[in-house]
Amino acid sequence: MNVNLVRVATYIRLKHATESSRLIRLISLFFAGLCALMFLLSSVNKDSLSEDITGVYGLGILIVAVVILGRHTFNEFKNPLESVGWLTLPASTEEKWLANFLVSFLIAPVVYILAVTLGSIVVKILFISLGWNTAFEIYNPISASGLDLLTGYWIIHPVLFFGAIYFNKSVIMKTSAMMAIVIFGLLIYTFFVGWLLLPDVITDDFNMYNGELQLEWDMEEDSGWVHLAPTWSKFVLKTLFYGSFLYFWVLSYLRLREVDV
Amino acid sequence: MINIDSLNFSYVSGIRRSQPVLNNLSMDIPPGRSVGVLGANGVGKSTLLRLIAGTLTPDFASDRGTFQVLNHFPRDRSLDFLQQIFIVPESFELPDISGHWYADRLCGFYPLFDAELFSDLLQRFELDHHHILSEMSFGQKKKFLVAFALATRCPLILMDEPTNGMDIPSKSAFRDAVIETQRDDQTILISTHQVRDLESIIDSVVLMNNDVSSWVDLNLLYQSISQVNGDSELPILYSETRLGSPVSLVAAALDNHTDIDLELLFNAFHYNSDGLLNAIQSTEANKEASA
Repeated sequence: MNVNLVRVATYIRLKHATESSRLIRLISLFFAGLCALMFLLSSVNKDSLSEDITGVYGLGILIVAVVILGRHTFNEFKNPLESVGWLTLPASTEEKWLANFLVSFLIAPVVYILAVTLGSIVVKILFISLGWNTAFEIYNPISASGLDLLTGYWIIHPVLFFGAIYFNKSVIMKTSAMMAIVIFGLLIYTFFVGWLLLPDVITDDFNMYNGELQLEWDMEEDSGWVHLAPTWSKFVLKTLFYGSFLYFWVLSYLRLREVDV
Repeated sequence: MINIDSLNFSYVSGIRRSQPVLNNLSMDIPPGRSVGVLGANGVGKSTLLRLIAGTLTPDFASDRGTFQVLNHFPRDRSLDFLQQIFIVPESFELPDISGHWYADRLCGFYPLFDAELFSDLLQRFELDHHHILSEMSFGQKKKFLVAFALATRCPLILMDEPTNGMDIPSKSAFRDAVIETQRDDQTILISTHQVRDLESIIDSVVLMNNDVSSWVDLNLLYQSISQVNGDSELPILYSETRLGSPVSLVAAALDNHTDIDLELLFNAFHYNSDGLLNAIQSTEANKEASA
């Protein structure tokens, strides 16, 4: 493991210097769009609070994920005319991976939250200067809503981060399709194994819920399902959940090591 | 510096490997040399440079001991290895920022980078470092990257067709820059079709075709072969007519030898690689035997 944080920072600076004009245009456009949307929504419904336009913020972070993880992350290795230079740049593979990880996992969402906060300040100032009386409030980044935004982004990060190095083009579309196939396959497999091992339970359950499939892991023993100790099942689920994060991040690192050009 | 023994490489197409590009390639290149990589189209000159730079994985990559560059297996892309090499690819893109800004950020990765030399080379190449790189012509971009490569002071510099796109004064400036800046322990490998551009720079060549490859020291070549103008009764390896008179390479060491024309050597290898390499190797074998 060869990681020098100064070199990682230099790598990030170099990568962003080489994309500066495109990035500045994109961020400016995004920021302007965000402000305009906040302004419009709050003008239409003057009683709306900033919490009421959480959907806008959620959409915004989704766009950030699409842009950062879909187009920006690991893009230095995708164009054959550029990738020779980046592959032979004196930084270890761990440092190149970490630079992309830090930007996509930490810097991008934090910058977004700050942009939302700044945008809400601009909109609020605009309302005050226009003399419009609205219930619009400045966004508080250190709030449950801010944490929710970050959590949502971080949950989708590992898969998209892996997709960013695995696929060359249409990263988001291909990764989503891949995940849909995997999840669908897993559901069918789980159902099939369950039906093989515990046919009565599965059949009873279908009768009980009129065909609606419900997944409940910490239910009561008398519900007709197999009893699983709540603590144990939660532990297993959490391990699987966070383990999948680690799995995709490690996979993305291994994939980066395989890149040839 | 570069030790290659039976290197094989084929590009992967889908899940299978295609026809081999490099087949049992072997050579040993000592440090401190200026090497021209000469070969016809498609023999794998650029591929060889990329393998040496570690951006491609050779076939049978587990056999690491047979492919060592600066005492590293290049494909490991270890930090220590990457700090010692710089590659100027044949085609590349430069970003949308000024040369000064770009170099300022990139030089931090190269511990031996010589900023003064870089500035001097830019002047020689008549480049303005405040100019936006993406707006430069192809030749200007090449000159910028060559200047940066030489300024890194890396022990191994690889250049793939560096004079492509350069005008005549720039080619001359390129030759001067390489000759004047190369250090004793630094090796420069230049792959090109335009052998005349290299004549004053290189002291050895890697001759490659689809079947065989060999590193040849040009300083010792006169011990095995000679260039003869006019008719000759010596065993001719290759001959061509220039201005109505034959010019030949013969398998003999002449007392009054002249410099061997690189283009003639290249053609001799292209049309009679076995004869040429046998002539060179038999002299080396005789020398070893007498020693």
